[in-house]
Amino acid sequence: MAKRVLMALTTAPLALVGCGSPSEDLPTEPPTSVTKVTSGGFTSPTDAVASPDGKTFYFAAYDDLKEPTIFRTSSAPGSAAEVLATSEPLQAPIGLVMSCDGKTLYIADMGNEIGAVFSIPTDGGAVTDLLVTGIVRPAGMAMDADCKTMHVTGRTEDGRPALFSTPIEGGAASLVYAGDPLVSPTGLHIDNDGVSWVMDHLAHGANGEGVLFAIPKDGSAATEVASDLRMGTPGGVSLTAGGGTAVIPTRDHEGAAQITSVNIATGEMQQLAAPDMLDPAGLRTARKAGVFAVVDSEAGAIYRAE
Amino acid sequence: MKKLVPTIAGLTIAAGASITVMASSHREAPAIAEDQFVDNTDVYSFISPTNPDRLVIVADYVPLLLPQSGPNFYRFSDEARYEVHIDNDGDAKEDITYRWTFENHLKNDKTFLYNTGAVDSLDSPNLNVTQTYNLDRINENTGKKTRILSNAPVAPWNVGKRSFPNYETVALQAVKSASGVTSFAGPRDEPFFVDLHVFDLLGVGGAPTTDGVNVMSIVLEVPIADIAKGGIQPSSGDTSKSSVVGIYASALRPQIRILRRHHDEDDFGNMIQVSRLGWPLINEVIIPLGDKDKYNRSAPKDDVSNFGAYILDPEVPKLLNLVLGAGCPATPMGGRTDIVGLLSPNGTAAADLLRINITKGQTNAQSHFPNGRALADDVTDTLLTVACNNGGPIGDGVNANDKPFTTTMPYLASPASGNP
Repeated sequence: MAKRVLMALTTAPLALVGCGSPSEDLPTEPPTSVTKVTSGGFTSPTDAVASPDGKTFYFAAYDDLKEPTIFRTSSAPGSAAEVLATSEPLQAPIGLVMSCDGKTLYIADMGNEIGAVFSIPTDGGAVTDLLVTGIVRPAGMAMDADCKTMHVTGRTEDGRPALFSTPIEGGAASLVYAGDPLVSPTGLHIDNDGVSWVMDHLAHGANGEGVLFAIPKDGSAATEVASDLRMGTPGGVSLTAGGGTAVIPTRDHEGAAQITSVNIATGEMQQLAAPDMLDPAGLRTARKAGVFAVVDSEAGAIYRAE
Repeated sequence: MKKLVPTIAGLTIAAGASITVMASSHREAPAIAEDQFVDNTDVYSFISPTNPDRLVIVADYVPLLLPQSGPNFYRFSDEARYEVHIDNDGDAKEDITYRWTFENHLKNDKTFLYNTGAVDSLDSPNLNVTQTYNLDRINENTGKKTRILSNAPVAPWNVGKRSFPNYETVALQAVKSASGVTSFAGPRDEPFFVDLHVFDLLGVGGAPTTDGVNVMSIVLEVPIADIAKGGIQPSSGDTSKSSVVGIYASALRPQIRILRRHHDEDDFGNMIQVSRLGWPLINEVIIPLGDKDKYNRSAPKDDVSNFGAYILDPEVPKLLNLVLGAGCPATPMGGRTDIVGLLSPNGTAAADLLRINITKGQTNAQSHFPNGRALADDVTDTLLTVACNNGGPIGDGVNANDKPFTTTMPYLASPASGNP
């Protein structure tokens, strides 16, 4: 709705450039097409993740009875979603991440009293509360390169916006970073060097509201990488292999949906129009396939970008 | 503006025309009617009566407030954003946004009282429940955000004479200035005057139904150069698109709210516009029920594509004819382009923006709707007359506010007391 000029980043976090080690586990290039995978039978999807081979998508949404539900679908266009888990203990699932082996799905749920982190086998089974402590209102999730630790965005018990790490088995979370300049962190990606890439809806950066921050493994700083990113809820971000490009679902200043690719080194942004989408949100790449899962929270649909 | 005579229907007629009335934008759409604290009711703008180089903008929210509404008196939502947007180049897209965000404070949570004794200043320890706000200016073209005021006080509710022996003295302490900008936020007397019996099948009779109720007001006074295109006030006689600014106010809430059994609720995510207003009465009586919520969520730049048909062929004249036999002529071929013209002065893009001439030499006396909107403007009469277009004025019989307005910040009258 505004007329900002997308400006090249002049304060690129040089210390972080290229810190995502080259890896075969991620797509090497930003997506060039967006295709609807599934819609119908659910509303208000939040986050979506892909199986390591990219052939199956999992997403959090609400079923036709408005019950919180985890769905599974083939990532092929025109697929039908099936229910993996629904209702209690799920309340408000908002963030997902896949285990490295693709056998377990982890769920950040903002409901209940202070939120919870759950797990569920990807081939079906019970939803388990990991009894993670120390994180209030968990939102975004990412899996560390060691495949043993998750990073989670949320709030501290005293209300500060924060980034945490927690073992995949659950238990006590460790605080990585808290406070300014974070305001409302959601989407999260962690690269092979442990740098967390955090989307924040309400932080105001050099070029406007909606900021991508980079937080090194030691939590020593939160550095603005790009701003004026009009993201949905939750924000989504994935980096391509090598960490050179951040892929983020956004809307342009006229409100049109797009997939924005941010060159981490230069701050240069490129947009891929997604005219079929209304409000693109949570985005995640497959670990070993060149496909991104993207949700359209307003239209109630799941898309693949590749 | 009219000579009123009674009719057998209990209505009044002005120069042969029937009469009706509406509330500007109070509870005007289904969704916002359930979210009172972010319901934008009116926007006013006029050249400062004391300094023609400055523009005053008033954005009112939270409609129809009973003064005796304790113990939890009205305030602004601390989870919302209240914004005033300014288009200074005529394309119906905001170039500058002023944003107020509020924070609640409680000194003593062991009492139910708003104040624990008489209050003689905003710093009084007896004032138990308070709000503060931050005011930011956002350049929408560059994304730059500038903090103008931090932790500025909101004027308290006018609880009653025992609590506030000199209420207005305390309230005026909430007028704050910084960087050449003056701001006020707090309760004021509802400036809009109307007979709300209109919604009983146009059953108006000149009853001043908004007398004695309050509203939550945000008042901004800025140097005109601060909001003009390129930072320079246009010269006298300039008739370009940038000789006027277009103004609308809005309120936004986070996209997600989660209620909890044992903890405070959480508001979370992207900010979504839930209310907006430029001209009075557009969403009230031009936009039909099926699109009212859409109007509140949408942007002025899209008004023509979204709602242009309702402007070109408004329902109001037909209703006036049907119920009151007002003699409004049929919509002409091509529609009501005269109304569209009023919404697009000096070649600006047609949109629901309150536009006002900001060229040098403009005075407060020239700031009358639709060139801005003065607090005392009887916009109901103006718009009904324009909508019917039967050659005669149409009015509602309520022609002025019950309290006089002032010539200094915050310009609106002191709010009605909860215990006068």
